[in-house]
Amino acid sequence: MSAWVQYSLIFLWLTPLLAAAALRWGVRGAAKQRALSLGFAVPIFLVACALFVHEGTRHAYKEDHLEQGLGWLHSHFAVDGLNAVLLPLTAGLTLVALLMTPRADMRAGLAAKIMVVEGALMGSFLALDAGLLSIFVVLSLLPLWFDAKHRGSRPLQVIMKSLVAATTAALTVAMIGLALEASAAGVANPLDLVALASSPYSPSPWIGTLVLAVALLRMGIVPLHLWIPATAQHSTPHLALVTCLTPLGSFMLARLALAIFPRVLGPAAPLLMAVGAFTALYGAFLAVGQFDLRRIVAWFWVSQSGLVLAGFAGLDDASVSGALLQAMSTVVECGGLMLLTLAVEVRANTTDLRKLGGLAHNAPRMATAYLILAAAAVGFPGTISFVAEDLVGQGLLRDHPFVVGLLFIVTAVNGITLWRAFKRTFLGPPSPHADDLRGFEDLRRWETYAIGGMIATLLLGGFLPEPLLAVRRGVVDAIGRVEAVALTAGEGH
Amino acid sequence: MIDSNSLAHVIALAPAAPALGGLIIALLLAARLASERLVATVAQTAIGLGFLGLLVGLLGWTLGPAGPLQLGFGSWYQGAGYDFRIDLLIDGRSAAVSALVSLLLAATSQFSIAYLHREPGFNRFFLLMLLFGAGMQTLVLAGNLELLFVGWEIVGMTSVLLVGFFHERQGPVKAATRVLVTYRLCDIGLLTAGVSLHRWLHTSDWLAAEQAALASPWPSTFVGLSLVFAAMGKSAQFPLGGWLPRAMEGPTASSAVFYGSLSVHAGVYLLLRAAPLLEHSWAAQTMMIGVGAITAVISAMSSQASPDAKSALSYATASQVGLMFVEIGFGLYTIATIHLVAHAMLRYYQFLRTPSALQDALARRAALGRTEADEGAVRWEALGLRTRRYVYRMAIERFDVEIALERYVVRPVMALSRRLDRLESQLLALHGESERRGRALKGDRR
Repeated sequence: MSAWVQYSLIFLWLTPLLAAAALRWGVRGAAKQRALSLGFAVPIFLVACALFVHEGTRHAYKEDHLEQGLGWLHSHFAVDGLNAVLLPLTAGLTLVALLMTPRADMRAGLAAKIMVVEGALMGSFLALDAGLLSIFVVLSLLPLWFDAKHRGSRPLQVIMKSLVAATTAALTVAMIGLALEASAAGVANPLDLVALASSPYSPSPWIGTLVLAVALLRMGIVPLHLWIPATAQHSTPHLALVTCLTPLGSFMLARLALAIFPRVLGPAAPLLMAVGAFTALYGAFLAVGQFDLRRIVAWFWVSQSGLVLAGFAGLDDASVSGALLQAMSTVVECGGLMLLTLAVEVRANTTDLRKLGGLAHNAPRMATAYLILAAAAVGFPGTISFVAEDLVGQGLLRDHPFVVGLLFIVTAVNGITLWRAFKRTFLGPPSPHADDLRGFEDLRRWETYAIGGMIATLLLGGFLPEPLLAVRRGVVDAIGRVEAVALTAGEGH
Repeated sequence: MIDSNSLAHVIALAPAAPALGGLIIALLLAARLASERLVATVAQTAIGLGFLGLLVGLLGWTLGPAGPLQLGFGSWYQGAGYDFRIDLLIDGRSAAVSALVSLLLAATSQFSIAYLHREPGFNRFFLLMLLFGAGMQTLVLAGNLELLFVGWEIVGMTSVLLVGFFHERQGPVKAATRVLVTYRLCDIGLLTAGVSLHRWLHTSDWLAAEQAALASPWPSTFVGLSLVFAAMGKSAQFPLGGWLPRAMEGPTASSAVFYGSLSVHAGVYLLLRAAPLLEHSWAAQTMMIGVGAITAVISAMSSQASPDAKSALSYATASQVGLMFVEIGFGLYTIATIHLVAHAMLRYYQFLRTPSALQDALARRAALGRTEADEGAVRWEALGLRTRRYVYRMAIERFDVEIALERYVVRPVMALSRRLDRLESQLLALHGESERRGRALKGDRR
């Protein structure tokens, strides 16, 4: 492994955390905090991109590892097919969120909190050690929890407290159980995912169930979804964006549940499929009646999470490929839509559709960007979501045609929802209930570049999806094991 | 004679040239370099190039061996046994409709340069028209259902944006929403048909599916009804036709080329393309005949009762398209194809002519004191007064179809959504309440 890759594996998660410390205790003033956070976020993004290009362009894809320590004091980081795409994605989303955060909102350590989330997410994606991964997963929620403490909304505080407590408790118990069981089975590094996957030892189903529950909670799957719309509406928006709209839940599903706990996921697949399809439908029907732009994006996210879960639970190569792709593209689409929503909020002081309208006249760039992102989000041909939804549909078709039909209805309803949001925000005359919107500003230059980059990613990935699919091929192969276990379990019954 | 590889690339210009033109205009708009003259030049060059390519390709095809020709461009992406192929299919039907599309696009671009001169949305119109052209050509020339769906979606999205062209006004925006909702719902039919073909026939390629349908059992009724449902939405058939008169909110040129002549016939074309598959299902054929006949009758009556010229024309269009559904249902494919091409040409002319024809009619009425419309009204006098009033009321209220859809579909869905939302909000509030209550209880104990 080249030295720079080795350093990058540490740089990508440690730098944001160090930056957060510097921002929290070293720098005062919104302008300085913004400049410093961007100063850190840009190189992190560049390194993440370089790592993706370096790893993703190889024909024979191999993992690059950085393994240190022994036994319980063990750390293992790697870049592989599953996380190679997520690194620049996370770094990019953080960078764009920082760029589009108004200077006035940089108070109360917002930049530091965003950097902590970035570091935690990077660590989660890079860790090949279940213990470290769990620590990073919990760490990624803490900024939002601290933020909730300072907000007036009591339901939000209770929900965030419950979320952090449930995640911590479930992961702690699961990791202790896994370590004890694996040690007893003779695994040298009991929490190392590579060692666990290559050993004959198979963890108990209850451990897998706990990890699976955390993954579903993080994805926002019904009935574990309450925190997503609550944070989208009541938390500090840019922080909620980088915490909620990330593919960490689906990543945990792929990294932990698929690879280490096939005995849980295989038999649970039909139930997960049903839950995923129901979540997709539930989210879609809730989104269509909303009047708040933030809540629309939140419910749309819940709906898309259901689609991703259904794709994973299909345990078919095509559906899992599609689910992985969908998990990635939804981040860009929902992230972009949420950023535009926040841009509207900053300028119009509201995200209530009943108080908006006619913004395309003053902000044509913003309107165009919203339209393109919305079209991409519902799988318009030429975007990543089109490929992803097509693959999920084709993968599920053989054994679950009814679910495929349901997902088509979801896609149609989501299309109507996002158009309605676009129409009521940007088209027609301004609402009679609106404040004066004549001074509404269009996207600034940097904002245009940032959103333009997101749109370009979606279009490039949509027209040329093969490299993205090829990078994930190794992960998809792991499904074979789960499917085999599911078949064995079926025959056993 | 042109070899098949060159032929493929020449014919591919029909969708590719407008798409490339659209991309160039989009880049010009982004760089703020788009002037009317430049945009018009790009659009006309792209459309002309596409038309030329198509003509040369079709000439090469007619000089070659007889029969349909499938042209392959490889696969877009593959995944675990699934392959998204980019194939074009040239046969008599696609050749005729594709040539019609190119011809009408060329005429529209020429007309619109003068008609939309100094309109604020001049550049946007040409961008959307080129994308529409690319989508329509993809739809017509597609060799499989997946590629047809790509064209179908592009046509749908550009149509919606053209209906809402004058976006500062409430009317066009509402109309665009109506169009989008209908299109999205009917997309479910097309998607379902596509995946069902893959599931049971292991292909969505038109020619291969036709062969496979003869060899293996498959749910022809389910697939057939799905296809008819998709076509009903796109072609404004009962009970989903309410969008067509509203679509006339766009510029005259777009009404003519999109809703009068091309877009509204996309559903008919889909049925013609899938006709060998639909023949396996009597239920689908019956549905086509039933839906087409009902639409033909009620749209003809609504057309007569419409107070404005464009609406009257749009209902007349839906009525004729209904007749095409009936023809396809009875297996009269050649007649339906000829009907499609002739009707598209006629409506194109009529829609373009509407504004000036209205002026002429008003001038004629002023000079003569009566018009042809009065003569039409006289014919209805043969009916009794009560019947006449009832029919007139029903016709002008579009037979209450939209009221019924609003009452029994839209409102219940929105009500369900808001009820669920209230439930969610109560759940959130309960979280806070339980915490507060717990603290209050603790306080009381102290």
